[in-house]
Amino acid sequence: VKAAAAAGLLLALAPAIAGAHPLDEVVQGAYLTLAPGELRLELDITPGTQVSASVLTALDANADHQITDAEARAYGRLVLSQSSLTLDGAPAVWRLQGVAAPPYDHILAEAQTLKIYAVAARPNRAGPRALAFENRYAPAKTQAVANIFLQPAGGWRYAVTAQQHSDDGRRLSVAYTVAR
Amino acid sequence: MIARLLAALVWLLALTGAAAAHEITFSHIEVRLDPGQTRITARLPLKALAQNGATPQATAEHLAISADGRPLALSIRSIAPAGDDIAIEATAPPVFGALTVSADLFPGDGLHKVFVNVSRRGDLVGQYALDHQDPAFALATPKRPLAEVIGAFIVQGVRHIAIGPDHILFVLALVLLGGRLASQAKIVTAFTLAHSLTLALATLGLVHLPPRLVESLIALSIVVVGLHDLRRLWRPSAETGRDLRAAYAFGFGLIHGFGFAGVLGQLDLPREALAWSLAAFNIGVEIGQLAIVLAAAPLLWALGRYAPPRIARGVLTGAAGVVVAAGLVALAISEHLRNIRRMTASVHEFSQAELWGGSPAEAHMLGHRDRLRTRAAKALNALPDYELLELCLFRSIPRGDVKPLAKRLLARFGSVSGTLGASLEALKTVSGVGDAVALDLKLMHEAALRMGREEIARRPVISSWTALLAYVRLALAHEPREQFRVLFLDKKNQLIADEVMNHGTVDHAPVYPREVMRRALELSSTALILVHNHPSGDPTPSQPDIAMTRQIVEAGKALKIEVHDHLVVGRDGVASFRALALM
Repeated sequence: VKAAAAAGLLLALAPAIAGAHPLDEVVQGAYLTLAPGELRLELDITPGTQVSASVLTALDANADHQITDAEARAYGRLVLSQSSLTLDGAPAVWRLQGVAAPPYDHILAEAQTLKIYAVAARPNRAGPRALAFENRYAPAKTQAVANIFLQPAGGWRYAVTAQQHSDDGRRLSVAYTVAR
Repeated sequence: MIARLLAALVWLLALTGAAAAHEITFSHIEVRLDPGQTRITARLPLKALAQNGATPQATAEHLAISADGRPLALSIRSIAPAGDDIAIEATAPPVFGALTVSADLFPGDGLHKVFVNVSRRGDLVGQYALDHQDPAFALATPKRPLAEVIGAFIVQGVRHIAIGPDHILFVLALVLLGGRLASQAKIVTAFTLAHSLTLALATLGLVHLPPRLVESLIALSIVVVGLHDLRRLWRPSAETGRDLRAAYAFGFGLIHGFGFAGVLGQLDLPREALAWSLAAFNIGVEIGQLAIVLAAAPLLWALGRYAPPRIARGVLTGAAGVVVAAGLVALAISEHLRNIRRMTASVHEFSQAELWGGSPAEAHMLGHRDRLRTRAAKALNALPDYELLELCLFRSIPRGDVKPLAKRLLARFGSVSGTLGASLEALKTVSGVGDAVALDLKLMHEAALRMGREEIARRPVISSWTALLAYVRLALAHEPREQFRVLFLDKKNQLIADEVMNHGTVDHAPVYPREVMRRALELSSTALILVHNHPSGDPTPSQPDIAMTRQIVEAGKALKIEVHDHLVVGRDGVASFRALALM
C-alpha cells in the first residue's frame, strides 16, 4: 500500500514539475567519443519554443519553412565553425558527417533536438594525450554541457586522467592516456 | 526501503520550486559482462522521473539488452534511493555474441540522455550516450581468447565422437580382438594419423568427397572390420596370418577424417585461429576415442583372463556380429543416419543455448558468422550486398554457409532491393530458398516499406520528397506487374492513405478517373500524387500515361482536388511528370 501510495504521489507530483519548464533557451549537449584513429562529435541542439526562431533563421536559409538536406548541412557547418578543437595542443578540424534535423513545423511547435555529427582524425599513438573542445555557438540564451566517452577497440585502450569543464559548460578539457 | 522512497518523494516536493530550469537530465547505466551473468546498475535521476511522471519500475521496462538479437530477461534485484537518484540493480543471463543495449528510458523526454558504460571482466569496452532519437547501440563480439577457442573445439571433438555411433562402432571393432599393447598402439596411431590427414586436407578445402559417399564408406568400414574380426575369431588358420587391423585403421581412417571434416565445416572455423581450432578438434576426437578404448579395455581384459576360451570367443563373436549388423544397417540407412546426427546436434545445441542463454551460433561462439556480425555491428552500411543478404539468411538458415545462396539471389534478381522485392513464388525458384527463407526476405521488404510509409506519413509529403521517392521505388520498382497507386493527401499535404487503385498486366494498369475522385472524396483528400510502375524498367512516361494523367487532373479541378505529380517508377529510376513539365 505504501509503495502504491508513493508511486501515486510521484505521478501526481510530476505534471506540476513538468509544466514548469521554461522554453526560452537553447540547450546544447556536446558528446565527444574517443575511438581508434578518430574523435567523434555528436552535438545536440534543442531550442526551446520561445527561441526556436533564432535557430530556424539560420537553419531554414531560404525561409520556405522546409529544411532541405543542403540547408541542414550548411547549418551544421555554421555551428561547427563556431567551435574549436585542439588535440595535443594542435588545432584540429571537424569533418561534418551529417545533420539530423526535425521538420520545421516540429521545431517551431515543441522542443526538438537537432543533431550534428562530425569527426576529427587523431593519430593512434600511445602515451599521455590531451584534447580541448569549445562550443561558442549561441543563437540565444544557451545552456551547454560537454562530455567525453571512450570506445576502445582494436587493442587500443584509453583512460581519462583529468577533465575540466568551464562554468558555462561550453569548454571541455580532457587529459587521457592511450595504451596498446 | 519504503520509508527511504517516501523521503525521496518529500525531497521531490521540495524540488518543485527549483525545477523551473530547462535542464538536461542524465541517467547512468553500468552493464558488466561477467562470465556467469550480466549485471546492470541503472541510476535514474529523481528529477527525470518527476518530469516524466514515471515510476522506476516503469522506466526500467524501457531498458532492453539482447545478445545476437535475442532479448535477455532482466531480473530486478533492488530499487532504492541513492542521493539524487533512484538506483536499480538487475541481472541478466551472460552475453555471448554481439551485445545490443536499448535504453529509451523516458520516451517523451527528448532532452533526457542515458550514459551507458559497458565493461567485460572489469575492463571498459565502451561508453555510449543514448537518447530518444538514438536509443540503442550494438557492441561487436570481442575476439575470443585463444584458450577459449581451443577449449570450445576440444569439446566439439569429444561431442562428435559421443553422438556418432558409426565412429564408436568402428573403434570398438578395431580393439575387439585385443592383442599386445604395441599392436593396439599401432592400430590407434594408424587411425589417428589417417583421419588427421584427411581432416586437415578437407577442412582447408584441398580435398572434397560428397558427404553421402563418406557416410556410406564409413558404414562399410564398420562392416569390413567387423567381418575381419569374425574371420579371425572362427578361422584358426587366420590367427597365424597378418592382422590387418592397422591397415584397415589407416585406410578407413582416411575416410573417417572426411566425416570429421564435415562436422567441423558446420562449426564455422575461426580463420584467425584455424590451425589451433583444427588441432583442438582433433584432440577432442582423440579424447573421445580414448574414452571408448578405456571403457572397453577392462572388459576385454577380464573376458580374456577369467572366461573359458569358448565363452570368451562366443562373446567376442556376438559383439563382432552386432558390429557387422549395425554396420550393415548404417550402410542401408546412411542418409537417415546423417539426418539423425543433424537432429541430435540441433537438440544438443538447443539445450546448450537454453542453458547459457545464447543462440546455437553462440554455442559455437566462433567463425564466419560471428565475424560478419562483428563487422556489421561496426558499419552495417559498409557491407557489400551479398553479406547483407547473408545476415538476413542467418535468421532462417541457422547453420552452414549461406554465401553461395546470397550470391545466387543477387545473380537472379540483380540487387538487394530486387531480391527483397521479388514475389514469394519467384524467390522459391532459387535453389536453396524454401518457404521460411522466402518469407523472411519478404518480411524485410515489408518492414522497409512500412518504415518508408511512416517516414512520409509523419511530415508533409511535399517537404520530404526524397523519402517519398525512396518509398515509391521500394514499393514498386520490382513489381512484376503494372500497378497504379494513389497517395491521398490532406490540406497540410500529409499522407492520409496510400492505396493501390488497380493492378494490371505487365504493361497496362487500367485507371478510371471517377474511381480515383470518388475515393479522394471519401477520404476528404484535397491533393493527390499518382504513382505507377513500368515493369520494363524504363520509367519514361508513355502517351497513354500522359493522356490518363490529364483526365485525372481535369476531373480533380472540378472538385478542387489538386494533383501534385504523377511518378512513374522503374528499376532505372523515377520519372516525375512535374519535373518533365508534363503537367
